[in-house]
Amino acid sequence: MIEAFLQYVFLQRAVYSAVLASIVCGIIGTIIIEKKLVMMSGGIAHTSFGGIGMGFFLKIEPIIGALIFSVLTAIGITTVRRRTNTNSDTLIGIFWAMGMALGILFIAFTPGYPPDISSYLFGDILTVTELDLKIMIALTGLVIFVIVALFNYWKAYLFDEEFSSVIGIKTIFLEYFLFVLIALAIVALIRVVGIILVIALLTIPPAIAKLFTFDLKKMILYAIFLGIVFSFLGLWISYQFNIASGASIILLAGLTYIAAVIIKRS
Amino acid sequence: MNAIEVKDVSVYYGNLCAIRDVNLNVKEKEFLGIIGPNGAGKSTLLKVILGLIKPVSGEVRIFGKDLKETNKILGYIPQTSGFDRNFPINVLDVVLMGRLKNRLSLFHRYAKEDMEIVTDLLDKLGLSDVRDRQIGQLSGGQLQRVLIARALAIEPKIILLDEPTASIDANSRSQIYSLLKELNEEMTIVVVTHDLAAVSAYFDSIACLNKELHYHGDKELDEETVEKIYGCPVELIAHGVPHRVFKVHEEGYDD
Repeated sequence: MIEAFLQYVFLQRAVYSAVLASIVCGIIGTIIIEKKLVMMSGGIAHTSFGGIGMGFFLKIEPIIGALIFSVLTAIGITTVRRRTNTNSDTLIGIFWAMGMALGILFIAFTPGYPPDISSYLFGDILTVTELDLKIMIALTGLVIFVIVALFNYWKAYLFDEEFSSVIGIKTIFLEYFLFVLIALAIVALIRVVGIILVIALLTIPPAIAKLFTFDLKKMILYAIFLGIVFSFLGLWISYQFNIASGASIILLAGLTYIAAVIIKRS
Repeated sequence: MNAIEVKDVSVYYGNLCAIRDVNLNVKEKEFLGIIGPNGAGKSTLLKVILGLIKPVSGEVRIFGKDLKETNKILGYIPQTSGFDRNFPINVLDVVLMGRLKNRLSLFHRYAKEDMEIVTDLLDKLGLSDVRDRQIGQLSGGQLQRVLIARALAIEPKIILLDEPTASIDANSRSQIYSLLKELNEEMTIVVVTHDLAAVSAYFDSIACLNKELHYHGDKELDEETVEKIYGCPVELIAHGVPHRVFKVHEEGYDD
């Protein structure tokens, strides 16, 4: 596989995007687990399918469509939740299904042969393009900068929103900011594991990391490391057996989680 | 000047009235206990004072000023059930939160002065030994002291506590009230509590809330007032509570 890596550009891109995806997952995954936003993130991911459909329909890059949709969804859910008493669970369910439906509608209206959408649904790290990689680099850089630069505030906000608000921290601003970051992170991950599987890559590495540390910073770093291991091994399995990379990465991560829980218990 | 002035405050959740036309003046360095049955709006009132809940009508003034103009005057000690005890954060980091400035600054680091203040507080509250421990590994009493330390790290003039002794043993309970009594020499303290025994032993004054504020004044309550607030026979409330809380109390009051 090493010679192949040196020889083929698509494999190099796959490796780079695996590393980037792991960094994003370690950071954002830890946050969504601690803030209990897992379903919310699943909702944003699925709604972005509408954007991918729109991309095909309008003949723009589908990933840009996904970016627009997921950011708007994140802002939409936060705003509606603040303005009304609607349970965010219900809202997420509505956005989730509507986004998927829109995507299917857009694709149905797109003239010509239906495009291959399975790589967006399930991810295919081996087909990552130059543009995808550039978008991932930009989004990952942004996520790292925002989280590192405001780390103490994020920690306070995540741990105790009420207290943060009492000492005058603008928690509403942080909330919107965080939801937009989650949306960006999801877009960065779609090419690697796909809309349907993204939630697993976001939650499994931090969930394993949480078994072994009580420190937020360490939890993030462990999760990044685990993410890299899973995606490299998953990539290798996918390359060797010619199966979808998303599925092999997720199954590997999931089985490791189960094993880690059993080991920790005994 | 009053430390806290609550004027005609009403709060509704949808159509549900939480508190109605509450007026309350808290003097500087008063040690006030707010009591009342479950669902009486005690926590709501506290959150209105803190600016966490916007009242439908009325206003709150802190040392004569609007809440927005005051900064770092209020220290808040929430109920321990209000956050996730499994959150990956240690004692030191929780207390340091109290030193955060309200304006976001990039790459914020705690200053040496912040560190010194927090270290002193941990010493004072007997938490130095557990400063690196994750908060889920603490006893109820320790966790409560961590939250008090965090509020004190703000260097506030008023501290507000929500059910500080709800889930801790008798020993830690008296420890916490002695600590509050000591702090009371320098600051105003408002405690929302069910703990009528503590009220009699430590507090200066008492406010009785059941949607409306029924009483505010001397801590020695008569049965009639308590009955009015709780809306049920006194005996139910007096159950398990030392009798000296009530000025007039007859044994075997039954109804």
